[in-house]
Amino acid sequence: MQKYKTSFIKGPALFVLPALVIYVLFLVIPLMGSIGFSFFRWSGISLNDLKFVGLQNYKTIFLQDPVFWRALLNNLIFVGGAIVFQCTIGLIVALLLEQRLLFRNFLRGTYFLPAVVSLTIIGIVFEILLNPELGVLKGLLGRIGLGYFANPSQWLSDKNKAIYVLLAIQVWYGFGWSMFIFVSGLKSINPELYEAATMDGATGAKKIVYITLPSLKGTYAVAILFATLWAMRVFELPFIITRGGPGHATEVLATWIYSKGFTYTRVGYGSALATILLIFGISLSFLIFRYTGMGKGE
Amino acid sequence: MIVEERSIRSGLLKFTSYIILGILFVATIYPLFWTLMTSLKEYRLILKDPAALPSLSALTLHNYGIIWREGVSTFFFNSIFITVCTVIGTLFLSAMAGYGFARFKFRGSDALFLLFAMSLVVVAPSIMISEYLLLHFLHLLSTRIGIILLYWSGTAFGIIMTSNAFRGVPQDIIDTAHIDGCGEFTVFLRIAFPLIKPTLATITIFTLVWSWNTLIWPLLILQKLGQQTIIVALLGFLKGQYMVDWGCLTAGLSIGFLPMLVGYFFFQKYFVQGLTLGSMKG
Repeated sequence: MQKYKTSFIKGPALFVLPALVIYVLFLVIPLMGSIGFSFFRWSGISLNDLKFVGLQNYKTIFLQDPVFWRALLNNLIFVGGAIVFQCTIGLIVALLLEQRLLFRNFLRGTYFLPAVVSLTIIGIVFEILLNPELGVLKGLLGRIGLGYFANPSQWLSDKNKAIYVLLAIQVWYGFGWSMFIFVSGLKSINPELYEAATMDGATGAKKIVYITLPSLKGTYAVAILFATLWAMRVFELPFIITRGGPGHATEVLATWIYSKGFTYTRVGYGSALATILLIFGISLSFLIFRYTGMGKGE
Repeated sequence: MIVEERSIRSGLLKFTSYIILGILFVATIYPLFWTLMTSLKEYRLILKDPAALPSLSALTLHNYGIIWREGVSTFFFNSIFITVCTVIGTLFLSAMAGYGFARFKFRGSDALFLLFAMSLVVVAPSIMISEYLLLHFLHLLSTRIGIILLYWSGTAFGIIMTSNAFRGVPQDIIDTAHIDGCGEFTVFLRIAFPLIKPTLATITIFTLVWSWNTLIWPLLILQKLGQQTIIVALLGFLKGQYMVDWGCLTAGLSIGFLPMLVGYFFFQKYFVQGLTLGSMKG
C-alpha cells in the first residue's frame, strides 16, 4: 500500500498510541530508570535513603568488584561459545541436511525442539540428569560401554570447568535456532550459481567452499547477532543449576544484577551493572551490524 | 572410474552424515524423553534403574495425579491465562501500530519506529530492577494484570513484521473500502488484518512460546504462590516439594513442556515459516 501523508493526530494516532503508551511506560521508562538509578545509592525501600553518588557505583564496579569481571568474562565465554560451537554446529547440520537424506525434515524439526522448551525446565532436567546420587548418566553410559567416563557432575563443582558445562547445555538448547537461520540462508542462494560451477567442473567440496560459504555472509551476521544477544542475557542456566557458584565462578552479569539488585537491595549498584550490560549489548550489536555487512542487502 | 569414485565418496559422505545426524538426534531427544519416561514410572522403579525403559505395564499416571492435586493445576491455568492474554494483546497492539506505520506518513514516524526497534537490543536483565520498582510504584506487583501489561510492551517484533506485511496490501483494496464508506479502523480490522494471516501466525507463535517459557519476569513479579506460572513454580515450590521424588518432579517438568512440544508438533509449519521469514531480513 502507499503511504498517506497526514499529521499524527488525524491519521495514525489511534493505531499507534495504544502500543506506544504501553511501550513507553513499561520499557522506555524503566530503561531510563536503569541508567538514572546507576548514579544513586538506594535500597529501593523508602525514598529517604536515596542518595546521589555520581560515578561512585561505576568506580566500585570497575575497581573493586572481582565478581563483575568474572561475570563479564563468563558472558564473553558464552558469546564465544555460542559463536564457535552453536553457530558452527548449526551451520554444519544445515549443510548436512542439504543432501537428499531420509527423514530430512523430521530431523530438522527435531533439532529445533529444545528451543521450544523453557530454559528453566532444561536447567532442572540437566540438573537431575547430572545428579550423581540418581546416576542416570552412569546407567546410560554404562549401557553403551562408556561407564568409566569422567563424571560431568564433578565438573559442576569445579570452579574452572563449571561454566563449560553450562555452555554445553546452552549450545544444546540453541543449535537448532542457529541451524534454522542457516537453513533459510541456504534456501536463498541462487541455484544457478551451482549449475554454472558444475559446468565448470567443480566438485561438491569446491562448490561449498567457493559458493555456499561466501553466499552465507549475511546469514553469518544474523546467526552471530542472535547468538550474541542470547549470550548477553543468559540467566536461567547459571541461576538454576549452579546459582552462580561455586563461589561466583559461574556468575553472569544477569545473575549478578539479580543478586545485587534484589538479594542485596543495592538498587544503584545493580542499575550500574545493568547499564554496563546494556551498553555491552548495544555495542556488540552495533559492531556486528557494521562489520558483517548485515542489512546491506545482498 | 571418476563416476565410481564420486559415488563412493558421496556414499561415504551420506553414511557419515547419517551417523552424525543420528547421534545429534539422540542427544537432542534424550533429556526430554528421559524426563517423560521417568514421570510415568513409580518411585522405586526409578531408583532401581534410572536409565531403564519401563515396560508398558509399569507405566503409571500416578505422579501426575499427585502433583495436579497439589497445586500444579493452578500453576498450569495461570500459565494459560497469562499466555493467552499476552498473545491476544500483543497481536492487536502490534498489528494496529504496524498498520499505522504502513498506512500513514507523518512527522516523526521514522524516529518513532526506531524507538520501537531499539528494544530488540535491550536485554531483560538490564531493566529488571527499575521495572520491578515501577510495577511496585503502580501497585502492579503480585498481580497477573501487571505482568500481562509488562508483556504487552514487547510489541517491537510484531510491529516490524506487521508494518512490513501491511505494505504488501494492494492499494486498490483500501481505496475501494474507503469509497464504500469504511472508516480507517474498519479498513484495518475487516480488510487489512485478515490479509496478513501468515505474519500474525508467526507473531502468535513466538509470543506464545516466549510468554509460556519465560522465567525472569514471573519470578520477580508473581510473588504469591497462587499466581505463579508453571515455570516459576517448578523452580521454587515444586523443586522444593518434590526434591527427591523424581517421578513427581519429572511429571511437573513434563507438564511444563508438553504443551509447547505438542504445539510445535502440530504447528511446525508456522514455526518454520516464522524462522525463515525472520532471518531473510539479513
